[in-house]
Amino acid sequence: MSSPGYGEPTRMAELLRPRLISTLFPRLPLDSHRSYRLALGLGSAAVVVLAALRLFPVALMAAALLLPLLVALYLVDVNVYGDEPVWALSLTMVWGAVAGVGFGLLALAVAPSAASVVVNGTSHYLVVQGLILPFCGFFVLLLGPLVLLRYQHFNAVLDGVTFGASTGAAFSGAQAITYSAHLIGAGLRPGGAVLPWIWRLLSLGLGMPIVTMGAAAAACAALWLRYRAPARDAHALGALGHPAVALPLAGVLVAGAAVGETFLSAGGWLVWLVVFDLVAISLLRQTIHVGLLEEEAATGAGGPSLGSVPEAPS
Amino acid sequence: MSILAERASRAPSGGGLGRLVVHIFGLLFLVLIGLSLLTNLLAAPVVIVPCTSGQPCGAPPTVPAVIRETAWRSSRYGFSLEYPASVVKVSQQTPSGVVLAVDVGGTSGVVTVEGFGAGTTPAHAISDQVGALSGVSQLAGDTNPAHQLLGAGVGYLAGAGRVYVGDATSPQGSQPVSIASEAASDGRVTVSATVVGASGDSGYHSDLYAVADLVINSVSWPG
Repeated sequence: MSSPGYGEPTRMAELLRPRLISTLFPRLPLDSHRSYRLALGLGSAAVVVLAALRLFPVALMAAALLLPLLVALYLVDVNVYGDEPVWALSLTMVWGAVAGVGFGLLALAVAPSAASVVVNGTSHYLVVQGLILPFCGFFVLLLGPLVLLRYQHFNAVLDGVTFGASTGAAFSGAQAITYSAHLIGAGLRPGGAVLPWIWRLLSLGLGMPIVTMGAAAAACAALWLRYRAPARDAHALGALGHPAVALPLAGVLVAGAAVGETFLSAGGWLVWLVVFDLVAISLLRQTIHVGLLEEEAATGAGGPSLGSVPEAPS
Repeated sequence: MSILAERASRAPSGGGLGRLVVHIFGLLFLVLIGLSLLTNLLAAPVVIVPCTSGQPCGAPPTVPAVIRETAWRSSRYGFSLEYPASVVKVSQQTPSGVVLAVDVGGTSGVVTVEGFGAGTTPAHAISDQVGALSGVSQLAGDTNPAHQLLGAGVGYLAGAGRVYVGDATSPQGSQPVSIASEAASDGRVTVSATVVGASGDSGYHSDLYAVADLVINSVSWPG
């Protein structure tokens, strides 16, 4: 993880500090961070209140839509797609949603019956639903942003971060709603223990989507860094910035986060996810920093990018 | 304040919504919550009028044809039971109990029958058995009056009965499951039977519950 220019320990410590909004929404101006934090906080509180009122199906849908909605607002707010919003949006959020629905249906098809889980325990779905599906799903969701990699219009590392994060958010939300569709037919207040439900909703609505967004954004950032960034920045993050390392690592991060569900309680899984979220966000911040320096150097607005002279995009 | 490099201006970006973000997000989020509320109301199951104990309550559930009765006996507690082998298979067994996998009419479920010592009350036996179920999360008592067990018992001995709801969870989401448990004691042994199935496959008129009734009623007490 060594990179030239990151000399001071305090600067490195600050880079590793997991700031959610500035990391997942890197193009957001500093003065908008508070509004987004407030929106995320209010949305999360609404999910908890809905669960406390035992409106579990509604709470689940609200949890699943929370981050995709915030991401959609962000995309409009900073006008990431410029003059080409429809097809670019199709390849990120719409593709993420389609892939999420597909993997939700696939998970339903391969899921053991409730009876089978009771008889065989959760080990029955550990491999397929805990490891294989999340790992494969992660790489399928990357296909949308990968198409955008070809376009010169989106040549900044931060574009990759944004595309990865938005596709990841849409994927997670769509998958959770599709897989839990049976819950909608169970009535408005189907019953269940409130506290485990709250942990579970926070896991499905925040914990898992954040790690998916972080991992997808980090993977896309590595791709953009390699194939779109100036040559001097391509090696800025060392091995972690190389797609051959970054992509499998991101996939393992997502699968590792998901598999915790198969052997932990609802609360335990949430704690597990928070740890993975922190790792994903910290990794992503390293890449974003390079992306920001790259933009700074490209516009000639500020200091040097990792101590080297700006070059033409590769 | 972030130490991340300051963002350089890039043509069409800007955070133009400013503080309106919270208001727009709140409005859209409320609309989405309202829509999901409406969807849930429209998709909610038809309200079932609760039955009264001892009173006729609609048509009896259809019981699948019993092709071959197979017996199982607890070597530890001495009680025995019978099950239709055409739709029921022994999944696990111990000297004190058996787990039966039911696959009937396109629905599947599990009937767990377990013996306990005389010192265990039927209510405790139910709690022990349900508490030991693996893979079911968010477990809570089912308070729907239409789902309550009327005249709960095992092997034609009156006892205790409880219904629960929970979820079969996975990293992708949740699926609701229904659990019904009955237990009775003859003073020497307590037998508890628990039925677990997906909520859509369970209920009074389901094939799963009809087969479970056959098994639970077939319990023969020792001696």
